[in-house]
Amino acid sequence: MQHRLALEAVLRFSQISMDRKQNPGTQESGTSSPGLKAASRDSLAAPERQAPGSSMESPSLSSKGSDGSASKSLCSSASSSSENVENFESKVAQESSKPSPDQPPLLEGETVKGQGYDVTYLCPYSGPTRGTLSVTNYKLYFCSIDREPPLILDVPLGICSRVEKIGGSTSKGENSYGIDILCKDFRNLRFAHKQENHSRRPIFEKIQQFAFPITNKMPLFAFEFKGSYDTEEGWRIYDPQTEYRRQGVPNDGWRITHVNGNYEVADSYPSLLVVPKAQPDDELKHVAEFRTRGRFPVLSWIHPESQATITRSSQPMVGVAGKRNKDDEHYIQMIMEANAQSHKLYIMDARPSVNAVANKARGGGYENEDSYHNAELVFLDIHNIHVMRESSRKLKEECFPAIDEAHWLSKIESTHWLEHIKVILAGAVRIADKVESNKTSVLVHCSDGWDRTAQLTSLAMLMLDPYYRTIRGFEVLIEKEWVSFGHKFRQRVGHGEDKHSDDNRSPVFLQLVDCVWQMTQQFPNAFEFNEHFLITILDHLYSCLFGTFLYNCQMHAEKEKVKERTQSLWSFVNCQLEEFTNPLYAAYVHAHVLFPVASLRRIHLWTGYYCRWNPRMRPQEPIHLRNRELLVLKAQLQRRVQELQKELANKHARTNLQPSPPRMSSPVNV
Amino acid sequence: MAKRFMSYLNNYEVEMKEKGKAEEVEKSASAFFENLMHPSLLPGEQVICQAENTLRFAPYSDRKQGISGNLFVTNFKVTFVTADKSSYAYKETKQRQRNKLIEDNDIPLTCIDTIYQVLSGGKKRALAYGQTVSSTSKYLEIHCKDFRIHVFGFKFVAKDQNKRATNSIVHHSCPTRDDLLFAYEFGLNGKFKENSQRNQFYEQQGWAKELKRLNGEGRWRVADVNLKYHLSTSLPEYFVVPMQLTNADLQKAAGQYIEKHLPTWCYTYKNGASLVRMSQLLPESDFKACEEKMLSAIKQSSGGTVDVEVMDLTQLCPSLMEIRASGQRLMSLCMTDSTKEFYSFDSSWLSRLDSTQWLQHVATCLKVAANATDIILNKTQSVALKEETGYDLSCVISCLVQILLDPEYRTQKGFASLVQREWVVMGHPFQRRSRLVQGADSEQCPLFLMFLDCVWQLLQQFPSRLAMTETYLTSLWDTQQLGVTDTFLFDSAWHRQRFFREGGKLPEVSLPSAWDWHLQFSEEDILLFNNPLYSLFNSYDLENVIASAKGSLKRAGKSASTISYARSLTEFHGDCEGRKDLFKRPNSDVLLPVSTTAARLQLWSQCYLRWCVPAQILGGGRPAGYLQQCLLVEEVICLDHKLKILQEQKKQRERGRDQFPRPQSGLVFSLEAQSQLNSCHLTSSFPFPAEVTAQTQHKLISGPLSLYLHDSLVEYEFANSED
Repeated sequence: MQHRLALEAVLRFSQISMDRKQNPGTQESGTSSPGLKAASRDSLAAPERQAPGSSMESPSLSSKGSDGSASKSLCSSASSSSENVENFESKVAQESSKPSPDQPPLLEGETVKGQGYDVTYLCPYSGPTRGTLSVTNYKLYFCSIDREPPLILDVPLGICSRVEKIGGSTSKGENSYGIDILCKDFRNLRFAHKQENHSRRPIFEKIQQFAFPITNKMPLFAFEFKGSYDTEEGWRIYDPQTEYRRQGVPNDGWRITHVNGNYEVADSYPSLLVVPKAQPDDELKHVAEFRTRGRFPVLSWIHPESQATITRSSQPMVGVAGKRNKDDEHYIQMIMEANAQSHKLYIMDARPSVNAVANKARGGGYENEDSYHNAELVFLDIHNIHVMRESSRKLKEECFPAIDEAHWLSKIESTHWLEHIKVILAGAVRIADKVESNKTSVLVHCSDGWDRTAQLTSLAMLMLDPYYRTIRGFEVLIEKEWVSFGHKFRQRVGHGEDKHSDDNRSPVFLQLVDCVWQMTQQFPNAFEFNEHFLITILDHLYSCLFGTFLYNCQMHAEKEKVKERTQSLWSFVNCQLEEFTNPLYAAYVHAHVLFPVASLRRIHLWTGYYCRWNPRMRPQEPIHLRNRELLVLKAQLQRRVQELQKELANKHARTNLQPSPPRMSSPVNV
Repeated sequence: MAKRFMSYLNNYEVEMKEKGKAEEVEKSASAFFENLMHPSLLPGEQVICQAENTLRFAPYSDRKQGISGNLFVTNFKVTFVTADKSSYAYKETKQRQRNKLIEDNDIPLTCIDTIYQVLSGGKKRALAYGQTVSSTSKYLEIHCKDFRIHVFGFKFVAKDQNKRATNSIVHHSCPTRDDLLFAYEFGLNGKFKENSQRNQFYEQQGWAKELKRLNGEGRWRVADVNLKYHLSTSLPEYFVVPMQLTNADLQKAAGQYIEKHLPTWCYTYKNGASLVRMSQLLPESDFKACEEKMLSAIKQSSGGTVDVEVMDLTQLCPSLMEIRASGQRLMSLCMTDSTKEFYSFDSSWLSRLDSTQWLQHVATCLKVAANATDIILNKTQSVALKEETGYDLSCVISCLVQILLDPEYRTQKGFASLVQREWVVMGHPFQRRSRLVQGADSEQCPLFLMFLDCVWQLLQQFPSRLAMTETYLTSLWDTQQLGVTDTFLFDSAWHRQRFFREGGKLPEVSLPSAWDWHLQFSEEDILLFNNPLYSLFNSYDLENVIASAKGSLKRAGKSASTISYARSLTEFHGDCEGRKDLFKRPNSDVLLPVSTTAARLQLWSQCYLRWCVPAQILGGGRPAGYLQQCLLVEEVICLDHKLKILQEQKKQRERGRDQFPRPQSGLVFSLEAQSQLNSCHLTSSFPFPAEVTAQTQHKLISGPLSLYLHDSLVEYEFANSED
């Protein structure tokens, strides 16, 4: 409760005059001219309007505005200027408090580390705007002073992938001297500074220091964040034992093993694993020896009726010599036999067959069908992390800042992003179909079994099991298939490291969330969560505010005591579930498997995420709001009907009249 | 599989379809004994020829799965009758949106776009109209304007029947004269009442009424200069012009305009600014004098202060030729008939779609319309739409502008009257553009489809502001292809009159209007035209409930100002609205801004991909969201109703429930006939029939539509008490 109060104290839009906090850091970064300060205060005193409810650019700075500052090339097709502006303005016009340019709202444990006055933010949509840029140990905060309502940028430093100086003190041209920031979330930020007195130096250094804490041997902000959320502890959402029990494990065919209790068999695996009952722990170690990084096949999901399973692993270490391992072969046989319904097992190798072959040269490879009886090997043709990284780089180029109106679809096609999404979805559909329709078990692997494998198993599970389509279930799914099974979040995202060209980085998790979004589009009432939920997860994949995605594996996270020292993203989500709930969710309608269509006819670019910084992409009338209104109305009416019914019942009881209580609503059952 | 082709021999049941006409049933009943497999016919419809033992192939079955039966060519349709009920085609018979005039698999001749003959060697060629075919077909592929492909196999058909069937389809799908169209026979035999409300713009009063509604009286007048079509055969007898122009002025001016489409009034906005449409001046005309006089008259009628903005649609919009080519590319892109073909296109789908230019053309039309709207609205300036012919793109743009400006035209009734006025009465040549009779290729153009697509885009952008659904728009396109409605059959008002009076020489020829949906659909199917979001917020007085809902949101501390910074960390587009603006309604009735950026326009998949089996989402798609909205609205209405009854009870006024009949939501879940819902499965093509093939059958495991009502708060009991 104290925490709650503490949080309320830093209310984003509280009256500045009332609870202005003193930020010791403010003084650090040079002084600003009194004139400017006065100007900024002036804007504070201006009546009424303020920036919208959350961070980032205010939508009111429509690029379509008729003022000359709008960048012509970006808004050439603007249709109807003034109406646009009016609409947006009416949306922001209500609040009575205002943000302060040099007093950024702060989280618990966050302090201002540096500030730059008279900095110009070069907004690619609404043109340059002047204001104050603050750097804290968590974020960049820019608030303009020459616009009404002010433009606000609120960017967690974790999102920065690269920070560069542009121009020198002698560069010609307006706004040519400043800082360029490449972000992980499909945008770039550019600030221009005054050319006198190396004005950008202090702020640049602060950004460098706090955006890349790992490089600078400092803790990630998640360890300094002192806030908390009054809800069930997010770290308790996923308990492997509970989750396997939900699936009906242990049962006749499968048992829980602690063979990896000390992470000795596979250091990137969780400590608790599920294996075929008939397999003794000792022999598991032999199997592990034959699989890359010891990641031997273990259970991900079991069909409640048919007992067909999805298991996951890394590639077998076949090598050029075509090595065999009897234990591995025997073990795969046991996985097949644990499912009495089918005498076959599919091994889905996520890679293109060429890559699988190439892996032999590095000691890896794939199962030989001759050695594995009754197993059928299928290649799913999903490309590796490097191809995906390149594709997302191209996608960013097409989506930010402006799009090519004339050839948009062709340009999107040329990035191959949607093609990759399609192949991943198609692979997952194939797995789900084998499990559901053929009642056959499937073993999924790629090379190491922590990228493509995690995508495939979690998507197939989402298709097969409606539980994972609830908010809580999805959290469990992420914790299970990604966090606990060792997706290398730290490397793939590159948390806190100043190594933007590190080739371990790759948008693997982003692709998963994109695939999930595609499914929510195809089945608008099958998921309890909404688009906002998915975007929130992606934002905090990079923000380093929560401990959830900080490490490469469970062992590492445990060593760093993540659960004790940081907050879980799920605490943040679960304390405000209404924000993340899909009003159209109908659990009854989709109690079964979903087969999304893996075709570009039905796969669309997620403009709500990739193009979200572009004000022209915002919906005129957001449909999710309309739907939410329906839900609110229904709840409101339901409550009032119940109240009245109760009241009437009491009245009847009191006056002892005819015992004819008003009829209760009787749902129509089918 | 081969067995299936012959299985009809063992199965003598013929499914009789209720046509609602007793005589029809009688006729069919006697036909039952004469011929076991005879098609059901409309009044005036005659069988021209038949081909026995034809195979009808299941879509996307690579011609490996089909049913055997008889193919009939009538003067109205190509129809296939089978006794084989075991096969795929009957698995989904309980679909909604069953047309009363045609069966699901019938092909109206007017709907046929191209006929391909595949010879036994595998050679495929398009058959041209009027061409006589001498070779026998192995397969006949019929590509339709509703984006569907029908494939028939003639392997087991007798040679003479084979040729005759092929020839009659080619011959009758595009007759040489319009009185050879089936509509003529249909009209001769039908007893359709002239719908005065729909046809009001053929009369003086219709225009006068609209002028009055829009406060245009005194500045504009209904001109009768074209009485008996003396002035122009492309304009209607009555139209509206600036007050100060006399009939003599008009007569003089008309000669200078192409097709004599002199400037005529479309709409006057509240601020006095008007929308006018016209054709281009003839090259030899006294250009300046004429145009100036007309424009100054319009300026006077619009308040007289600002000059008229002339928008030259020939310059601003794609040409008919471009739209036609684009439409053809779109059709060939969306129409595939084999799974292999479907997937081989898939990775290049986006660039192919891009190169059809269809969405770009849609964007252009929307952009031009939005600009015109902006000028009228914000500059109080009248706009004149100028176009070479004055009856093509000006129909598209003038309708769009009026839909953007005036909520009246977003109702179903208003939309119908708008299309009737701006397209039908003002002389859009539907017959030539959809090529109902033989004529120049260059005249054909899917302009109306482009218009419907624009409206569909608006529907996506403003989901609660239009009363109709996408199903309404798709059904409207299908209706145009049906070829029997008064609405979409003629080139102009004059043409229509000639068809009825002169061509027929018989006064009793009459045709139904496209807007009388009962002609085609059942009451329940028509409910699917209603947009739940629109009807809730426009048809019900929920102010009270909304106010208290807002109040409780505030009490629960959910309003924006109380959300702590630590809780509002993510940016979500529309977030600023999201937190504050539940139940906030726009200040303006006008639908602006319209988004025309390429990244926001979508492909109208219901219309273009509904027959595309591999693209069908089983159990999902937009219809799933639509039905869920219908359900929520139905629940809200039921609860509101219940609340009112309880409030009465509280006031001790025990009135019977009959005083509170259950309100009619006009949505699908207000139906009490649950059987309809029980038997209907959902796909992304809903409510259009889903073809279930062997490949998809096992995936149809999602429950019937009635599942939506599981655990819902919808109560049906109140409706019973109405009696």
